[in-house]
Amino acid sequence: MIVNLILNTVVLFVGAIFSWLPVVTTLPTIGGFDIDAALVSGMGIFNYYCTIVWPIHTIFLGFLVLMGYYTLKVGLRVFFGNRTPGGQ
Amino acid sequence: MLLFFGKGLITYAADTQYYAEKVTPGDPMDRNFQAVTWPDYCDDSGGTLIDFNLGNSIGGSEYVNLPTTIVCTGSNINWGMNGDEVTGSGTVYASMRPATGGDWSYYVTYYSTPGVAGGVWSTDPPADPTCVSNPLTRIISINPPNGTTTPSGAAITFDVDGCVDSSDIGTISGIKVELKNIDQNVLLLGDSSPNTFVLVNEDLTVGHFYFASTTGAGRIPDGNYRIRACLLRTYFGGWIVNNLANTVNDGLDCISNQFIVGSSTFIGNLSQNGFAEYQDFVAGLTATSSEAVAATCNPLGATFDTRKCITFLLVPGGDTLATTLEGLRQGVLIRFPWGYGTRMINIMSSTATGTPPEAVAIPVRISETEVIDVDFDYADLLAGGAALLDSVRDPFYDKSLRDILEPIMQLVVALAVCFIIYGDLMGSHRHNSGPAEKTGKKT
Repeated sequence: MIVNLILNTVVLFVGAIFSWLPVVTTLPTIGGFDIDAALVSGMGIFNYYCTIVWPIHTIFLGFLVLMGYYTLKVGLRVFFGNRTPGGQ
Repeated sequence: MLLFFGKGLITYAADTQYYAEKVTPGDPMDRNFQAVTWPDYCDDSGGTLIDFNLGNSIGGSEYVNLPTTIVCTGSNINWGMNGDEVTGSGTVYASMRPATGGDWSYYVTYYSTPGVAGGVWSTDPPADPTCVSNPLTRIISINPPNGTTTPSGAAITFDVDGCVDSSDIGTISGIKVELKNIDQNVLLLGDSSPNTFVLVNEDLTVGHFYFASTTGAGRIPDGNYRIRACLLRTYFGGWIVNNLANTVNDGLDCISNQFIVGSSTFIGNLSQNGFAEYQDFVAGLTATSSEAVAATCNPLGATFDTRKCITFLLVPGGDTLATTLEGLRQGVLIRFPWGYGTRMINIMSSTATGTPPEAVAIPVRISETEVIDVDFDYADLLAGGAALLDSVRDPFYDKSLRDILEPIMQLVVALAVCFIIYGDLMGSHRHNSGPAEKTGKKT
């Protein structure tokens, strides 16, 4: 309960700060080209091929995790600057 | 999974025809059939493919991936969640959901052999599967059932039935099972469902997953055992697999069964009784009942218990943690501008498959005056090649190349990712190349 309360309070506080920002539901369309539709279609075909050529799926999952780490690191650098773990 | 309507003809033996026919629960049946014993085609790794070979089907033939695993134990055939053993004139049926969505359909399978008298249909069509009437995401049951005692040396099958609500499709990544010998405090089986587990890769809400069975030399010794199955939840597009809140059995995401093989031990019985008492209390912790907290944490109350009170106050429940993370997602992660990144991550981490491009026609000149178009459907070529490769199996263990290599490759990729992240955190790739600093004093 206590841990949940702390987490919910933090999430509520952070959510309140950013509540004025608009919600993003799809990727933008630039120059008549629908990026969201293209990415969804492309990933669907890629997932289909991954069911056949399974090593690609494993490598792609690892790539996603790695990109997630780098994204998280960039986000932390916004708040902590040079004190971010991992240095420069 | 493709849609199947009407009556399908399946041919396995030269003179025996197998049928699968769509039925409606509640309607009276008037067909006769022989008692069904499934042929030698048993697949305990994820399902059975049946080629219905319908003349009017899409693409020439229909393949239906049955939402179950078949345990090949002689004449005991279990289909779906509510399959029955087939003996004499019983029924065997599977419940399937069309790929295009819609309600569950029920298909009865039976076979007839020319020259052999048919049997009698003995029961009405089956009742709704458990997940249709109650689609709450949960572990439905584990075998062996809780509190059972099996004879010494008996063959035991470990399997799990689970249910996933449509809103959780994509969040649930699989099921993890652990079997532990309590007497020796040894973990005997720790396994997770493979990537082909139909519970999460198909648009289904129900699955029966077979893990292992003890037969022959693999029979487990006498003693007290505990088997636990947990749904693995993922967050942020699969980057986080939730094992944090699955430390207690909440009766939904995690349940445990305790059973005894042959003769039990004193220590094992003590542990099982204590565990059962604890679980009875913990199972009720997920209820948002302030009265329960007050009763447990009130030092003047009759049910005051420090350990239980601290557990209830500090240990986050799985469902509440999921609610918190969902709140983070709705409140922060989908906001502009980083919402574009979240959207891209959701797309890239989705498991939905798409339709490959159509076949490519390449003009080929076959004579001086004649040019024909040769169609290359490379998607079909790849699928055919993959099916051929998957059909090559080790004759002793019945493992395909993927079954053998995929776990190794996953381990290698995971280790590589961990080392890259660790190296980046430690900054091991960076070198101090600056000049040495002078330390002399000026006078």
